Amino acid sequence: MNSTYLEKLEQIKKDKDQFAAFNSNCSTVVKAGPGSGKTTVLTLKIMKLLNDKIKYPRGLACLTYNREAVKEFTNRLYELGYVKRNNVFLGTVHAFCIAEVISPFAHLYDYDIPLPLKIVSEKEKNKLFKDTVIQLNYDPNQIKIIDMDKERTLGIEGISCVSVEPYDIGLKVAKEYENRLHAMGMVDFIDIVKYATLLIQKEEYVRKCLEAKFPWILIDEYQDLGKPLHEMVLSLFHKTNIKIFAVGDPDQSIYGFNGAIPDYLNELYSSPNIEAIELKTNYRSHQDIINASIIGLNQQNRNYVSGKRFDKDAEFHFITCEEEMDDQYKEVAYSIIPSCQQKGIPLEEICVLVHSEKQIQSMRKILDEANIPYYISKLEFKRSDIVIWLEQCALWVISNSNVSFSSLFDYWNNLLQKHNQTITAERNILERKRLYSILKESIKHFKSLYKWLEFLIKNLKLHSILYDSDIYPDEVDNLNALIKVAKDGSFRDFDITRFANLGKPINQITLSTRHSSKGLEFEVVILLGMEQGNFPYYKNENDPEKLAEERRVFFVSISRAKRVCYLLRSKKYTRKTRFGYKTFNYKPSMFWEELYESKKNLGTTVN
Amino acid sequence: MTKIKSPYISRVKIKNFRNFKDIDVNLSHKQVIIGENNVGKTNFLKAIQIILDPKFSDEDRFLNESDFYDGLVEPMKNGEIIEIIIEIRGYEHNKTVLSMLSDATISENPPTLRLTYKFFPSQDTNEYTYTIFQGDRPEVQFTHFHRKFLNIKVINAIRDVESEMRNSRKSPIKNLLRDYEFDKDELEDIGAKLKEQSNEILSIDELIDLEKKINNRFINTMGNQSFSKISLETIDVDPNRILNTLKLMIGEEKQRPTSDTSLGINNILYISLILISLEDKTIPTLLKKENYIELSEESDSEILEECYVKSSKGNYFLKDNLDDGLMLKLYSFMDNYSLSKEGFTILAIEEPEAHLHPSFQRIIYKDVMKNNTSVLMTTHSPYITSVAPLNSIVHLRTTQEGTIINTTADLNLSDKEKQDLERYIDVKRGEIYFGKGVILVEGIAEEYLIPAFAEILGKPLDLKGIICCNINSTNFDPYVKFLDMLGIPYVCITDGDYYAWVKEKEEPKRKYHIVVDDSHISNGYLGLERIGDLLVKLQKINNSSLPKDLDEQEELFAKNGFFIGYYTMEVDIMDACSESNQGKDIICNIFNELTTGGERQKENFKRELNSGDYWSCLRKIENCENEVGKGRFAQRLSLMCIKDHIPKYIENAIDYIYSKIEEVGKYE
Repeated sequence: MNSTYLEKLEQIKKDKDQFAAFNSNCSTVVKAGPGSGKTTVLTLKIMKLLNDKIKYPRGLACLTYNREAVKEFTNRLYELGYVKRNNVFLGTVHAFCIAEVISPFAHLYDYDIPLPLKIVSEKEKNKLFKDTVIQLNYDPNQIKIIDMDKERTLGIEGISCVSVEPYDIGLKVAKEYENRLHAMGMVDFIDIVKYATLLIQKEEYVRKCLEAKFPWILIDEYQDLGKPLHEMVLSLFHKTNIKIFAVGDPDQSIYGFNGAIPDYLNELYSSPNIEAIELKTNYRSHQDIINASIIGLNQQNRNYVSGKRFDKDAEFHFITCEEEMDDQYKEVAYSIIPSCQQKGIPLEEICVLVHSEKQIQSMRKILDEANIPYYISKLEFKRSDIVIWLEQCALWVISNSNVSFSSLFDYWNNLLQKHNQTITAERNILERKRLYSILKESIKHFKSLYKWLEFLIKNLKLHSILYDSDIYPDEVDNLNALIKVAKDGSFRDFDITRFANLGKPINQITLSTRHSSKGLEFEVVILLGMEQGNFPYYKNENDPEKLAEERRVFFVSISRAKRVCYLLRSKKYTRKTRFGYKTFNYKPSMFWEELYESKKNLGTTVN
Repeated sequence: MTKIKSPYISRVKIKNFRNFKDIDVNLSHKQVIIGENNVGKTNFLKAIQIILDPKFSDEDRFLNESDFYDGLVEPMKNGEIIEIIIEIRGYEHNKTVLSMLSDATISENPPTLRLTYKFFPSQDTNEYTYTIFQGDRPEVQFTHFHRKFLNIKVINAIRDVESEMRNSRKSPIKNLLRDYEFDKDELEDIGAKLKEQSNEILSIDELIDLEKKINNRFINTMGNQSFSKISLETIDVDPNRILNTLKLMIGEEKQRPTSDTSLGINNILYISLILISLEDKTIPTLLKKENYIELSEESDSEILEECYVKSSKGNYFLKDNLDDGLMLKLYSFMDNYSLSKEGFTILAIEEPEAHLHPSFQRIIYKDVMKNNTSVLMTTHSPYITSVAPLNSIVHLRTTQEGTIINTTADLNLSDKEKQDLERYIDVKRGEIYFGKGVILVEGIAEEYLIPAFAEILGKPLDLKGIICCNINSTNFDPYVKFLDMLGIPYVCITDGDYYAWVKEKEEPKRKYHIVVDDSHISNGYLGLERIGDLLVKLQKINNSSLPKDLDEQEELFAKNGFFIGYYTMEVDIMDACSESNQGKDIICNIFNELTTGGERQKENFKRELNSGDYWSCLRKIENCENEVGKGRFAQRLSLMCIKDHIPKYIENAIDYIYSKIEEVGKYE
C-alpha cells in the first residue's frame, strides 16, 4: 500500500466520524462542515473500495460539481496510489451523463433525444432565450436565463418529496425554449442531465448496466447539484443495488438561483436505509472563527469543534470606512494588506471577498496602483476540458514527471474521435508521434504563454477540429478568450510554468466573489461591502428562504478563514435616484451587527 | 448447477471472408455445425475466433489477400472489405460482462451485444488495417481487455489429449487447481509432514548402503569436488509444487494413471475437465472463511447461511441440491458482491467424436447439450447430431455464391411436433442431417422400394447422397419445415388414398380401398387434400391459387416437390405393371414364396391381380394369418423388382430430387 495512503489512513483513524464514513459498507450520506476533511475521506474511501471491495472489471463513479474539482480530485487519487483502471469514472455530472448514459444507451430508446448530441453554444442559447421571451411578450426584466433554467431543472419528476413553488413565467418560457431548441436538433447542458435522468428512471437495462459498472457511486458537493442529480440518485438508490456515498454540506448550499437547495441533501440524509454521518471537527479554523461563522448561519445544532491548534488568538476586525466601496478598496490595499505582511502573513494566505465581478475589477485597479500582486480565481475564460488539457500539456513540457504523455494522448485521441475522425491503429501511432513532437518542439516558446499557446493551437489545428463542434460549441471562442488574456490581458507576462500551475496563487493575494470562494482557505479573509441593504441584499431581507441563503453565503465566507477576519463597511453611498444623485447613510449589515454583539459579549479581540 | 445459462453467440454475419460471400445466420445456445468436408466449417469458427479468441495474435487478426472471398478478383486492389459481425445474447444476468461490454448494446429487448470486425483500406493511407468495435460505435474498440471477459476456446480436431493432460502448464486439472486460493501455511505444513514421513525411508539400511555405493563410485570418477556429493531424496516438498504432484487416476478398483487409459476415455475426461473450468463461477462451491465473513457484512447476507455449510476446517461448502429459486437469489447476491472476476468462455470443439465409440458419443454429448456453457462443435457424427437440440443445427452447403449456411435457431414448431421430430432424429441417428437430398416417405414399404426403384432408373440414391426417410406417418409438416430451414432439397412421396362418396344409413360417407370406377359420381384423393392443406399452411401456395382441377393440383404440388400416388403404394405398383406379365409374375412369385396359405389362396391372388382387384391382393399380403406383411413383401420385392413396377409419380419424384441435387452439385 502506498505510503501517503497509509499516512492519511492513520490520520483519519483518529477522527471517529471520518473513520466511520471511510468504513461504511452501505449507502451513506456524510454531512461535512467546513474544513472537515471531506476530500481526504472521499479519496481514501475510493482507494479502499477499489483495492478491497470492488473486483475488476467493475469500478465506481465519482461525480463532482466542476472540472477544477475533478482535476484536484484525480491528482489526490494518484498521490494515494491510484492506477488507472476500467470503469472508474471521475468527472462532472455532465460528463457522466454523456459518457455513461446517453452515448451508450439513448439510441436504444425512443425519447426524442436528438442524436448525435449537438450542444448549443452559449451565444446561440442566449439569442434563442431572448427571442423566446420577446415572442411570448414577456418583459425581459421579468425573467433571466437562469430563472428559466432553474424551472427546467425543477420540472423533473420523480421520487423526491421536496417541493418548490414554480415560477409561472419561467415555466412557460422554458417550455417554448425547449421546443425551439429541440426543433433545431440541439440540446443544452440542462437537457443532457434531464435526458440522462429520464433514461435512468425509466429503463431497467440502463440501470442494470450502471449497476454492473459502478457498484458504488460517490458524489461530492451534493448540495450544489440540484434536482436532476437528486432524482437520478434516488432512482439508483431505490431501484438498484448501487451503493451511494454522498458528501456535502447543506449549510454551504449557495446556488439557489440554479435550483440547488439544501433540502435535497437533507432529504437523502434522513432517508431510511442510509447511514447518516456528520463530520464535526473543523481542521481548518480557529474555534472563534467557527463560532463566528455559526452565528451568521443562525441555525440550531451546529456543534463544530476545531481540530487544529493555533499559537495565536483569532482576530476580528470591524472597519468602518467613510464613503463608497472605493474607501474600502483603499483600506485593503494601503492598510490591511501591509499590516498583514508586517505580521509575516504571506500574500497567498490573504483573500479579499467581494459581492460581484464588477467589484473585482474595481479592486484590481486599486491593487495595481498599490503594486500588490493578486490572483483571481474566476478567469475571463472557462477552464474547460481543453484548457485543463493545455495546462497539463504545459506541465508535461516543463517537467514530464508530473503527468504522463499517455494520459495527454488519450485525451487528444478521444477529442479527435469525438470530432468524427476515425483513428485506426496506424493513425493512432502517427497522431501519437505528431503530438509528441509538437509538444517537444513547443519548449522553445516556454517563456511566453501567448507564443506557446499560438504555436500549439496552430500546429494541432485546434481551431479547425473544434469548428462547429457538436460537443464543445463554445470552445473556439473560449480559446480565443484565453489567447487574448495571454496576449494582452492578465496573463501577458506568464511563462508556461505559471500557466501549468493555474489555479493556485503564487505570492499573490486572492481576489474572489463570495460565491466563488467555496472550497478555498486562507489565514486572513477580508469581507467587503458589509452594509445593510448590500449584504444581505435588501430585496432578500424579508424572504425567509432567500435570507437563509444569504446567511449561508456569509457562513461560507467567514469559514474560509483560518484565524483572522476583517469586515469592512462604508457609512455613505451616493446613488442615482429619480431626483438626481443623492447620498445615503448606510447602516452596518445584520451579519456585522450580530457578530459584533457576540464578540463584544465574549470579550474577544475586536478592533 | 443452476439453470442460468452462459452467454452465447446469437447471430453471425460474414462478408467476403474465405468461402463466405455474404451470410447472416441466427444461432442458439448450442451450435452443431455440419456439412461436408471442405465446405468451410473451420472457417466459420475462424471468423468467430478473429473476434473472440484471446490466443489469436494481432498478426492473426491482420488478414491478407488470400483471406478474401474466393470469388473476388484482386480484392485488395479494389478496396473490398471483410466484415465479420457477431451478436451475443444471454449475458445480462452477469455484472462482469455487463460492466465490460454494455457499450456494445444494440438492443435491450432481448438484450443483445454486437461486435464487429472489419478489414479495410484506411482513408488516409489506403493501406489495409483492421478494427474490432463494440455495438454501433466504431469509436469504442473491443480489445484484449474486453476479450478477457468474453472469449472463445477452440479445441482443435487434431489434438493430443494425452500430452495436454501431462503438460503441467496446460493440463486442465492444473487450471482447475489454479482457480482455488490455497492456504500457503496449510500446504507448507503438509509439505513438512510429508518430508518427515518420507525421510524415514532413507533410514532403511539398504538405502544407506546404496547411497554409499553410489557416492564411492562417483568420487572415484570425479575426484572430491564440491558437486560430487550424491544423496537420495524422496519427494518434492516445495509447497508451491506439492499440488503439481497430484495426478488423476481412473478406475474403481484397479486405478490407472490417465497415461495408461484409452484415448477415448482420456478425451472424455479432457472435455469434462474443460467444461468444469468454463463453468460460471459466480457462485463459488467453496467459500473461504475470510470471504464468508466479508460477505456476511452485506445487508442481504442471510442467504449465505441457507446455502452454505461449514467444513471441518472452517471454510464453507455450497450445499447440494438447492432449489432453483434459492440458487437464483444466491446468484444475484454473489454477482452483486462479486468475488469472481471471471467472464465467460464459449467452447468450440472440432470433431468431438474423435476416438469415441458411438455409444459414448451419445452419452457424453447428451450431457454437453444440457450444460450451461455455450458450445459450438463441428461434427460428422450422426451420434452427436442425433442428440443435438433441434434448434442447434448449423448446416453449411456449397453453392455458386460461396458457402451458404442454414440454421435452425428460429425453428418454430409446436411442442408435440418438436417431440416427434426430436424422437425421430434420435431413433434414426440424425441421418436426415447428412443427406444432400431427402425423400420423405410414409412407411416401411417405401423405405425398401424407393431406393431399389431409383437404382433401376439409373439414378441410385447413394451416388448423390440422397436419403430416404421413413417418417411412419403422413404428418410431413415438421419435417418439411425443418428441411426448409436446413436448406436441404427434398421430395415427399405419399399415397393418394382414393375415395368415393357413398351413402351409408342415409349419411354421406367416404369409402376407401376401392379402385376408380365410372360409377363413382363424387370422388377424391385424401392424399391430394392433405398435401394441399399442408402447402397452404406452410404458405408455399396460397389458398386462392389452389386449382379446382385435380390434375392441375397434382402438377402444382409436384412443382413444390410433393408427389402423390392414386391409392396406396402396393396397389399403385400392381396397377403400374397391369400390362406387364413379367411384372405380375414377379409379384405372384413373391407372394407364393412368402405366404403360409395353400395353393387355393395363391390361385386366388393371381386371379385377382390379373383382374385388377388389387385391394384384395393387398389384403392377402396384409393378412396376418398369411405371415407375409407389407414390410416383408416390400423387402423381397425390392430385390426382384423391374422397371415395370415403378409407378409414374415415384419415377417423377426421383427425377425431381435428382435434378435438384445436380443443380446444386454443379457449383461444387
